[in-house]
Amino acid sequence: MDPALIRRAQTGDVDAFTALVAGRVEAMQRTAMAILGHEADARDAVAESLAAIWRELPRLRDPLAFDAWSTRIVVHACRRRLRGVGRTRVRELTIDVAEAGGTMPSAAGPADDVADRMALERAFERLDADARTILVLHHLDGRGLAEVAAVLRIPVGTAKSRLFAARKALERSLERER
Amino acid sequence: MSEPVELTDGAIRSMLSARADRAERYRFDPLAIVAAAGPRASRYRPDASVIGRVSIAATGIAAALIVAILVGSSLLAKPGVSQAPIGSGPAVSTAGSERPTASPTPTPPAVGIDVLSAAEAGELIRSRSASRPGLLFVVKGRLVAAETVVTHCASGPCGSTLLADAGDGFVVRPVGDVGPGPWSESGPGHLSGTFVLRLSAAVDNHLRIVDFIGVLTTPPNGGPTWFVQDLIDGAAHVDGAYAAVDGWLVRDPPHPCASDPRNPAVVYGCPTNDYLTEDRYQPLQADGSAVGPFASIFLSTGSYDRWARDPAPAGPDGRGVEPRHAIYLLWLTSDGCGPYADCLMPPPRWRIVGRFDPLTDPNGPSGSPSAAVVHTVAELVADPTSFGNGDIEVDGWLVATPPLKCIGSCEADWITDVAFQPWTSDGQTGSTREPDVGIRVQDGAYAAFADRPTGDASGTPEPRYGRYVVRESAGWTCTDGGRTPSPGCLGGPTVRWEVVARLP
Repeated sequence: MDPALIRRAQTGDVDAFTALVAGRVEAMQRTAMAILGHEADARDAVAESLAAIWRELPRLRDPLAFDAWSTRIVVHACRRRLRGVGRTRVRELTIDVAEAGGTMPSAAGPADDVADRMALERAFERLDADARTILVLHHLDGRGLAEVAAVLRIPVGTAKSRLFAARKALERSLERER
Repeated sequence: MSEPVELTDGAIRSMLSARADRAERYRFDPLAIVAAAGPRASRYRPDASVIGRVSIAATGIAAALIVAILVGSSLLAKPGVSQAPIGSGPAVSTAGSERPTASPTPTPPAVGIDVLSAAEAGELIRSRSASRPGLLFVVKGRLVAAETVVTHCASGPCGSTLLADAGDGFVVRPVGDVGPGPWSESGPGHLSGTFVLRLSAAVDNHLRIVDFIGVLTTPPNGGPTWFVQDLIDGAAHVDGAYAAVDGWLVRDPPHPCASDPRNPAVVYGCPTNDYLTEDRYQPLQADGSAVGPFASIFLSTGSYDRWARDPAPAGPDGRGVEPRHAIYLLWLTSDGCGPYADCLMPPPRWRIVGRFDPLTDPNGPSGSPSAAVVHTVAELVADPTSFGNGDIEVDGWLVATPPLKCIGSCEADWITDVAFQPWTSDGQTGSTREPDVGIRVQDGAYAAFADRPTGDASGTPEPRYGRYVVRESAGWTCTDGGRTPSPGCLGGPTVRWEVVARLP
């Protein structure tokens, strides 16, 4: 991340802001979509996050912390949505057999893989915001424990234990699908 | 499915990736984002991690500046005159540490907190307890045990706790409603520090009672006030800590949500989200939607309605509220449930438990409801959470079962609207029963507060009518007056009542 670009954006340079975040929007949306599971909510969370990044950028002291800082904003936006929604949605899953069969490590056939993935996603939907977030940051975004800890502003040891707890929660939730 | 899915890293990654891929590409319009973002923050504010990296020399200079500011402010400030709050740490007082102004509305001067000496506190207690019950104040001093000053505790006459060098005429009693103060009479023997105390209308043995809320956690410079961002950054994050926080209290419009079958006494996020923010913030948007603040302390539902001074509706349809600025007393506690909270092992959360009001405002509202209104038991039963923290006067019959052989709670004490006997016996065996309308109070309340407590031949206490001062207290259903859940607790938090005095 170019510190000079961040400094310019901090001073109100919209072009610099655009250059700063344009390449990150897709990743932000994927993170939000994975946590929330609902496209409209994810879109709103990203829009809210981008506005917050622009608004709060002058307060960012360390340009090198931009990635963790901006991801934290996205995560907070998703958590607020999960917290505020307080309702259960019914959503249809798009079943792409060919795609699922190519990505799911299983000895069963493609149809079984899709069913497995759907079961896993239903189990994931039952997790709380904290568990969803840390699983997404680690498994989807590919962040190591130190990065996860930086995003969530928690000690690395806490990140490790939370990730373990989230994984266990997902396992328990998955048991209900069997 | 023939074989259940194995939960591997690859399976999780594949599921999340497929989930993320379902969204259409976001169309990024920077100008629209900038237009919607509103006013920008002016500058960053150093956080605790910065403080840790400040050089020793710089820290020394900062400390000198703080001392100068503190000395100057204390010399210039007159008693009762509002002072600006003092920030969180050395860096706050250094050059360039002016508070950010992200709000379009300028932040009005905060009502500061005067840290009273013991003598000043004694004067305040003696002169204002009757007229300002519920008023919070901060004192730096020492609590001492005084066995010879006898008052009434749950188990009978007992010694008392005094505030050293504060004069006589009152005793200090730990509260049971918003703090670690025990349910019964046991309290700190000797304790020095900066305390939060609360005026009370209660009198015991001709001595005024002042409530000991807890030890105030203060910033490194002595504060005593924190900013919201300090707590967000993790300052004072010790379970059970109390902090005086300068901030704006607001909530968003109520939203529909499922009721929690556990029926907890403290709920987060349903049906409103309540926030304490660093700068003035209005969650209600022009289009009627609600957007939570970027950085805030998330508070339990009802915090605004209970603690905001002069709560007022906002927005074209009145669904929103006007943010209210004050210094609030926050308590980091592990109670409370919400749609996404785990009631068994909830993380500690900041919960607002009081508001600091000017000490010299005799006509202003206090941080707790006044005890001037006398209630019936039925009113307390109908809506136990609407009375706030503090003293509540209730007329009713105080009664108890005889002491029973059991594990844990060994009797049941009640206040009821009509004379009631919770214990029935044929002389050989007996059983307990609950009143149709009554509030369960702490064990020993009858013995401590009933007028001429008696028992008949079978040991059954007679109901005693009187005007009692009671307090609401959050507890756990599976502990006996405990403040924290016991292992395996499945009941969640509940409301308890504590009798603290009987009025003449």
